[in-house]
Amino acid sequence: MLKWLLLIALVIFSSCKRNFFAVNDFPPMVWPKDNLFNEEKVAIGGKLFVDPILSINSKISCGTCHVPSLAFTDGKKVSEGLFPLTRSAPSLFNIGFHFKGLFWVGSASTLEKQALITVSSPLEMGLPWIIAEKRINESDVYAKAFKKIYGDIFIDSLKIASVLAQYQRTLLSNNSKFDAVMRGEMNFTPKEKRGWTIFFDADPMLPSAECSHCHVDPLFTDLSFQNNGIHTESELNGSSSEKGRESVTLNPNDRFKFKVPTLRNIAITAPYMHDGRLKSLEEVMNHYNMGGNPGFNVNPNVRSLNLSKQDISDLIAFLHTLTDVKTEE
Amino acid sequence: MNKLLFILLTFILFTCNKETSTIPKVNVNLRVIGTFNGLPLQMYNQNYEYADGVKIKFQSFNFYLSDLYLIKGSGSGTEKVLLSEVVLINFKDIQSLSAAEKGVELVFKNIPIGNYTGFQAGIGVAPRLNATGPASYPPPHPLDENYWSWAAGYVFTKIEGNADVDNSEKFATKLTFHSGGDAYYKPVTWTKPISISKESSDIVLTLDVKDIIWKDQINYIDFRKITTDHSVNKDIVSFIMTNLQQGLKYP
Repeated sequence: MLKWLLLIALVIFSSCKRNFFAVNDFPPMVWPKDNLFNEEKVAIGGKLFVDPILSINSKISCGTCHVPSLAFTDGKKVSEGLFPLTRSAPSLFNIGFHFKGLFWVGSASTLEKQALITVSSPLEMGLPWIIAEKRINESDVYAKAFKKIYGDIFIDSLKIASVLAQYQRTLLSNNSKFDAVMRGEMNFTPKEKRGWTIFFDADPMLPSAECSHCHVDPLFTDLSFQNNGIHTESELNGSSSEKGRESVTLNPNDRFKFKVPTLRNIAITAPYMHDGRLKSLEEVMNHYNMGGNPGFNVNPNVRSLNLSKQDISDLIAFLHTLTDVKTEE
Repeated sequence: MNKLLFILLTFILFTCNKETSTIPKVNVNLRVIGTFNGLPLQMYNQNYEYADGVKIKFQSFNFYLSDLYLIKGSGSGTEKVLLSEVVLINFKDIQSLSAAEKGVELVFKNIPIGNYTGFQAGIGVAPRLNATGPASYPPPHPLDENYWSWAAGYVFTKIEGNADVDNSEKFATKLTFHSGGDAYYKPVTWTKPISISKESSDIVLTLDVKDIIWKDQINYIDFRKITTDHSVNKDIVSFIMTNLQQGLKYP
């Protein structure tokens, strides 16, 4: 009898909608068991994301540094919360797929934890959670919305973080020209096609740019942490306060390793690199074409490429096909 | 279709021979210990003497094993117990002597105890799995990385590091060898008594990475001439994959 009940349960389970955000060729998005998709949570999260209520001075929201029209970056060299930060704002598109760690150095394992850190960070939003909770519980709008989900209970930091995380998991970039070409709905121009080929090292008769070892499609990041040779060797061996991934792992071999950023919408997210030191895609291409700075842990795929101006121009044309944010003309 | 298969499998599970469920089960540990010319294999922290006066360092070394089975009996009476469909043996975090001595460790749960006659694994990604992609696997999963979308297949083995070809100690030459392709997949069977019990459940494989890239004084990858290959040079891919298949040992 128990077996039959189990079987019926399995049939029901297998016929349920398994993955709300199943995207063609994307890996399945794994939602935390204690924060499964909930449309109402997403709606509150989206409202809170752009509401400065979660900053100490009531002037900064998540959306201050993660502007939707800039693919959830801010166009600045480094972000400014309450104070200037040392790193740029990474794009949040497809962030729900990032299961190997968040922030540039992987210092938060989930979006829920990331939200908890950012709101209370003295440099970013600077709001102690005890005050944040008080503000939300005393807000008619939020108290009512949270009550609809959780009932008449105190809205604590975990609940607030959970709705912010929910919203961010819905930020998908999967409708660029590249995606349309992959779906067979459009064609690349010859220039874009050549750039695609060079990007993916897909034709031995054309130059290889070695991009796709780390910028793996469809996310255009393999979610790993790499030293791409952007820092000089003297910085690498010196006493810089910036340690990269080493600050999390305490492993000196992780010095100046940063998370490989997505290239989706890269054409509209200048400046580039974790500290925004490169102003344009041309500068980025030149950096990689030269093979980056030397260093004991620089990814060996970052090597002199001997790309011509034409190769670089074609690569950039391909990168433009990764844009799916509509910007004002 | 998948749902129907799922239900069918569930039925089979319910109706299978109940005798097997009475055999005690244990966790089996697979350890793969890497060396280079006999020295413990570490990423970043160790220089290794290579052919023709070159020195090398590793940053990354990994390879896939597919269809891992323990084998029981022989001939027509052969039984196989599946340990795993696919695993990634990844040395990226082997960065100290103690870690190197321990090797890469994987645990397979609920394996029936017994006296087995051998161990089998395919070196690389089995063709049926190589035809899939990361979209098929909720992460974390061994097949959620090392995928070439443009080639519709996985990198079976990845060797990355640096070489000092001019004795400058700068290790400025960058090495990246990524090998794969269905043609290079090969199942290997090691015939040797294996007793899996509550007291003993370790399988230890060894691999000297020198055997993969520096077979002998004549047959080696000359890092002064070749520093990268992404399965374009068939001679290199064949050399690496054949040597990997021969070099992985169950002593």
